[in-house]
Amino acid sequence: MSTAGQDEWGKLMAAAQAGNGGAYRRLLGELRDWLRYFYVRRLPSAHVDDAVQDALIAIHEKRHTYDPGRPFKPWLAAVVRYKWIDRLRNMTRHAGDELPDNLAVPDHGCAVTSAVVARCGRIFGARCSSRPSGGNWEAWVS
Amino acid sequence: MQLPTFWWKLGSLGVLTVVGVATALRSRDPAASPRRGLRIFALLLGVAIALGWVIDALAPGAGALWARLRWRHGVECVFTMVVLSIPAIVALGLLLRRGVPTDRKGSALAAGAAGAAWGAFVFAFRCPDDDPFYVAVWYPVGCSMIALAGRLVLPRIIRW
Repeated sequence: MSTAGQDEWGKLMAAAQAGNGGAYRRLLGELRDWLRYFYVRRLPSAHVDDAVQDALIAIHEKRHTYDPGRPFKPWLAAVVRYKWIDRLRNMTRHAGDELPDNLAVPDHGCAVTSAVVARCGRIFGARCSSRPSGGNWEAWVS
Repeated sequence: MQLPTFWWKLGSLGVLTVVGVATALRSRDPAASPRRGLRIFALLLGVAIALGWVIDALAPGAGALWARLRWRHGVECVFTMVVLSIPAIVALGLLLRRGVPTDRKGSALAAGAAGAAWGAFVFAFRCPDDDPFYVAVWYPVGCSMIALAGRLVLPRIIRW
């Protein structure tokens, strides 16, 4: 990030505040790339896109608070950092439950199989009265 | 009415109001932190209370502290102060909501303290009691209730 780039963004934002839609679109486009670069290094990849969207919305909603007489980068950094911390806080609050190692229960495949067979029996009648030899269900069904 | 006490009360609350409001409003800028303003506020509060103690020590003929407390009047005083501070808190909350406060808790505390100081400042004109001990007990009771309420409620409102 060069100083010229920052000044450029400040000018674009000032123009956007004055109602220049083209400047605003260009600014948001450039900010999107910069934000992605910012968040990729600070958030799990699944959160990056949402964080970028959040930050862009915040920048849009709060754009009237930017004072064109002052540098743009501190304003942007503060907004982006606030949104980042907000997201980190939410992540700890809504952290996914870790699956315990002993979650698996003893196999109940036999019960499922017999239930399927019973239903089969009702549908296909006589055919189900015999069971496949050697447990070869695929051959038996086809 | 004791003149030095009256001016002490009014002056201290006026200064605290100005500092509190300035701190809260400054924190609308995302790059500005309200912490420094809050420290100045706390320092001035300490100075004001110390000054009150000096004024009280210089005044002759102080009675028993319990009698000077006049708690029945004091509770009414606290209630009025709280009511008077509500418009200021609401106004500051709305202004903060429009701004970009990045330290929500600090901004909320600053707004609560400013609203409290403002409520006490307005009430000071009406309050017939100028006893420094009375002021040093009841005003902080009312003000801390307001500041605490601001600190607890405002962060949800000024969230962005």
